Amino acid sequence: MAVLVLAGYLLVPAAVQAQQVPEWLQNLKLPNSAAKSIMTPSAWGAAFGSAFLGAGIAERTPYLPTSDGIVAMGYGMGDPVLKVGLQIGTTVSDLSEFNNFSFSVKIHRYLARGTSIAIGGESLFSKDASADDAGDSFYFVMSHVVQAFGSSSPGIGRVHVSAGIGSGRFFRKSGRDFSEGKGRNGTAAFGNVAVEVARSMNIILEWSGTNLLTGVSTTIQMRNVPISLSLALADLTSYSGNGVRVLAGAALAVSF
Amino acid sequence: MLTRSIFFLFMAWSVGALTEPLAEPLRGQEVNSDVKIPPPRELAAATPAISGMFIGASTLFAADGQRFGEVVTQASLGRLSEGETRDQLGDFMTSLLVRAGIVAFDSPRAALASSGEKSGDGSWPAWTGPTPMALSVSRTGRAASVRRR
Repeated sequence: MAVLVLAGYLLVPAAVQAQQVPEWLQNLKLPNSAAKSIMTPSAWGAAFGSAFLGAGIAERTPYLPTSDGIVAMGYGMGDPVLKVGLQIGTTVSDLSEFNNFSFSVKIHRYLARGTSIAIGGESLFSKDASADDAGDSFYFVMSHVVQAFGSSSPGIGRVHVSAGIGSGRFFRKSGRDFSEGKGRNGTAAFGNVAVEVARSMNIILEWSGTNLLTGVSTTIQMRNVPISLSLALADLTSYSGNGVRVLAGAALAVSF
Repeated sequence: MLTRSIFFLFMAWSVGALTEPLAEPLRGQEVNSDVKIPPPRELAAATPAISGMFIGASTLFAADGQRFGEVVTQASLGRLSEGETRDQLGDFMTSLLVRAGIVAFDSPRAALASSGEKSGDGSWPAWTGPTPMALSVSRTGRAASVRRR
């Protein structure tokens, strides 16, 4: 009898127990789905299985009365939690001629406790550097969702912060700024704070490296396709540009 | 962290503000008026990517905590495939659970080996599943890990 019991104990595989969700995971605050920045990058990015398409428009170009627009599309690869994520994008920055393309790339990695880091480049391989921002721009950025306060539930005061340093458009002002006596260089350091004021809605304050911006962004879901809508005011200080401008953007993402 | 971030932003702004008067006030160097500054690229490029990535986390993790717990339980017991888990929890949250050791999936190589599918030259075909760069843990290893706990 004892042999049978022992044999049964040894031969019958142990039942796999269900894992409880640990408390730290229940309390973990992750970013919401609305935009957390206006013109600066964040360390959150696309991963494998997602692609995006978006467009943005500025009410006018600095020092000019004409409007300015941009169309961007891209997709993600990899896994930022288990390895690294890679986001690759294409940008059309001259909508009237539709001939100035550039590329962007971002490698991002989720660390822990709502923190992520990324390095990337923008405006790469642009045909006309003056038409596509400040030419090649490279950056390092760290993003974090404040864990100390706010709720892990959507819509209750999550605070997202990002800080980074970059070259190109984060550092160099435009030639017109230089000729207007506003200096040649910005701060190179950039950052943004996005506070969740409602479900999937953030109010954003941002320093782009050359000026201050503020805006609001929200994301709506249409048949599981998130559509992000943003409205912002740029050039709030006289550090660059010639007055406040209105920006607007819309974008959607698909999962596959 | 928040304090450090605010301090960092304040320092960045201060450096810029303090050094602005030191910049050479050159004038008269007229340049091409068609100088553009960054259009709202981040509005167009990064927002949707974030949205797509966090659908699962935002809708299930907190808003419907009970369902989140049920899905995690089922996944930890091996009753949900990786695809099913990712569909219900989102890629980001699923990977987070894998990294925390709460759920595990069969390794792609093991799945291919059991399927008996080989390419023409005899090698296993490249894995093209949901996590091509993900570290997968075999179920055997997970069971052993669970027993150890």
